[in-house]
Amino acid sequence: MNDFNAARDIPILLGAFFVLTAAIGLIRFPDLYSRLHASSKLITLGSAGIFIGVGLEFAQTEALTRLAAVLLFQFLTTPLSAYLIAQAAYLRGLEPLLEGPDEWNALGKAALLDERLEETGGR
Amino acid sequence: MIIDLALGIVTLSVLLVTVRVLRGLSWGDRIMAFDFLSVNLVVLIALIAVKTKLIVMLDAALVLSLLGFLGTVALTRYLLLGRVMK
Amino acid sequence: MRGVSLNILLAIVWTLFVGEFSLRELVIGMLLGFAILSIFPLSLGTGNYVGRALALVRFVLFFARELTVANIQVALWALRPRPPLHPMIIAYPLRLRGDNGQTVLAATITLMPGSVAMGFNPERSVLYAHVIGLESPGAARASLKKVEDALLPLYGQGVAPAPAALEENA
Repeated sequence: MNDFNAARDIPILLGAFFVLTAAIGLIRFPDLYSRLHASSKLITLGSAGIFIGVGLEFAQTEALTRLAAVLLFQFLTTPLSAYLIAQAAYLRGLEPLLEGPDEWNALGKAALLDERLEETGGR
Repeated sequence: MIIDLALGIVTLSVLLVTVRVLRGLSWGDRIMAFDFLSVNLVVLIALIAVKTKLIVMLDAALVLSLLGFLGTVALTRYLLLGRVMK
Repeated sequence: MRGVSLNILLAIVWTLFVGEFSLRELVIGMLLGFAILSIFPLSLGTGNYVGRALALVRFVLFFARELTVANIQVALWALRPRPPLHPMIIAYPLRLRGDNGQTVLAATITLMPGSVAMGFNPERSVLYAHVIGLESPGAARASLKKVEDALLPLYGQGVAPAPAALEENA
């Protein structure tokens, strides 16, 4: 455990660094939508690096298949949950902090919220 | 050695994000931080699997990543629609 | 579909020839089968399988590079004192049609430098995205267009009937 194994350790360290910067970004960025950039992008590559390093450490089929499943699942779900959070917060009226235009006008917003509510027969 | 260092770094990020869960400025922030925490726990379990040399831990990581995503979907549906199921 | 199944069949035949069933031999068999399919597309009736597979490989390489750039960019912003975020929400008129292509596009731009997908309009013809780090909406649309261009060969069957009208907005 004490010897330095470059193929295993460099991905793990890079991944841990990205996870830490994601947490710092989550604390420091000014509003929810900017924080979503930090959490979605950095956590994907950070966890991918750590899983690759762990896979190289084990180097057995049982471990590699499970890690491949977790990795694939992370790549599929992280953007999805960022999309869901951004959409829910925006449609429910959490105002973003903007310095540029907001091209998603109020009319389109109301229509989409109505459609979403109709899907489930919500209130 | 490196594994211990990585465990320390990821634990530090878990602590930082816990602040965001407790003092989130909005509902969306809390859900996002919760989602982030579940991914961080998956990463932690993968690192612990290396440290304890137990492959079984990776099964726990797989199940936890599935459950974390399910939790995020349920919470955002509740925020958006006012209910989780029909 | 026919192309994929033929390729897998050829890979299995290769492992039978070698007499050793392992992941390594399967990968070699896949590559050899792909070479055979790219030489004889007409006689085997696999249509555009080779072209689409190459487009997929090109897209994966493009995606890996963009993901790395995005991560370094956001990591630097998280660490520097006053990040130049300049946030805005832009509307992007889509040329891609069909749920699969649009889902992949939304997921991809969320992992690209500077953009997070936020929603579609009810007709599924406009994508709304939150953008940081870019100066103008035009630059943001150009960076989304790059992603859509890489995806069009994969999901090209459902291109919008009148792309010229949409181009004016973009």
